[in-house]
Amino acid sequence: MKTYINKLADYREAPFEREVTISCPQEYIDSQMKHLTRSHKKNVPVKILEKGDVTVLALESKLEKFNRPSVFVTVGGGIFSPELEAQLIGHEAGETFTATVDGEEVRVTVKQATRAIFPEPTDEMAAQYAASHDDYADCTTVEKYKEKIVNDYLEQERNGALYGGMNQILEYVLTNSDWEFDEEELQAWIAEAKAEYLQETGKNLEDMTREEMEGALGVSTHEEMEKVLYSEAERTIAQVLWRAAVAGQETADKSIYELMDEQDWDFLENFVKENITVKEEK
Amino acid sequence: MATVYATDENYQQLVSEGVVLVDFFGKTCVPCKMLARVLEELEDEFPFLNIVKVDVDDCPKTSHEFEINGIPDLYYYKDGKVIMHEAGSVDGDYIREKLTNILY
Repeated sequence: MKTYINKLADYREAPFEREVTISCPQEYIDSQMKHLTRSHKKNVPVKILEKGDVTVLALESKLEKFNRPSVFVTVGGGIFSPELEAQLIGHEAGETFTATVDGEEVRVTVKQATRAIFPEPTDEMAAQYAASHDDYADCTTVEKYKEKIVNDYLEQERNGALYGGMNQILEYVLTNSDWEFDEEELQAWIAEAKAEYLQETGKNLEDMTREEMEGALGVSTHEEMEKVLYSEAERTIAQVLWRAAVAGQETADKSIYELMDEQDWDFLENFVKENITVKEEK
Repeated sequence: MATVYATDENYQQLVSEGVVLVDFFGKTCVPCKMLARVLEELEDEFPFLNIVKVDVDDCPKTSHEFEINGIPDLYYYKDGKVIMHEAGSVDGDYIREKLTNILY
């Protein structure tokens, strides 16, 4: 590789969260319990709106998105407009009121509202679920199911703490080091990334519409996309050279892909494991 | 529509209107099972969202047509057109974020 390191920060000196407390929130447990009971749920009409209710709204406003004769919105679902959804709470089905979104008035009529009512889970429901889901085959009672839900969640949190520490160290190294990037290598990486995307998705990044780019990449223009790819190329090459330096790999006669094939993140994972304490809070 | 299981015969009809989330899955694939739970939660929260599940073993023609090499593979449709697709397991928040751009 022609890119080289001018200055490399010592990852062992990076600040990261060394003491982490984890717990399983009741809200998460409640949401997972619904898997046992969802086949028994009932949707009922409601009067006063609460978070989670499904509404049909008529909206009138100068804002295009908020000018519709009929639109489904889940209160607090967060995918239509968190600002409007928050203002729905406490209003009634059949009511018309004025909300404010982005400083503009929106005339809202709640045409319809329903709520999903889930029954209390029973051991019989747990046994039924266990019989049809291999991963939960041992969870034949509500208590056993709940125990698995909590344990799985805490395991994820432990992994999250570990990878969070690794990421903090990675950012420290990337921010505090200095690379002399070779433009040809950056452009080669970008071309390869575009080719891979085409192979995986059948879509050519250079032909994507604005809507496709926003959906897939979170950018609106081709210029923004090129900037994201360029930045990603720098990060990837920098990381590869860092790992090569830690492992004592010779880089001059090898391509980035040859180096990557010989690399892993074990050194960083082991370092974080040895230096982190994860406490469980009941 | 809520969640519907597709066949090779009715696939095109199921994705032809509105916003549709298509989940190409396999019965024994562990990440697919995790994603299935996420989709169930989304269905409970957004019952007006159309979810189509495609078992790759039961729908070989459709899976071949879409060159499904890894599962799960999520396709996002709007009015019959593929907006994006995402191979691999993703969480509910990620799908919510994508739906914000596509659904409204």
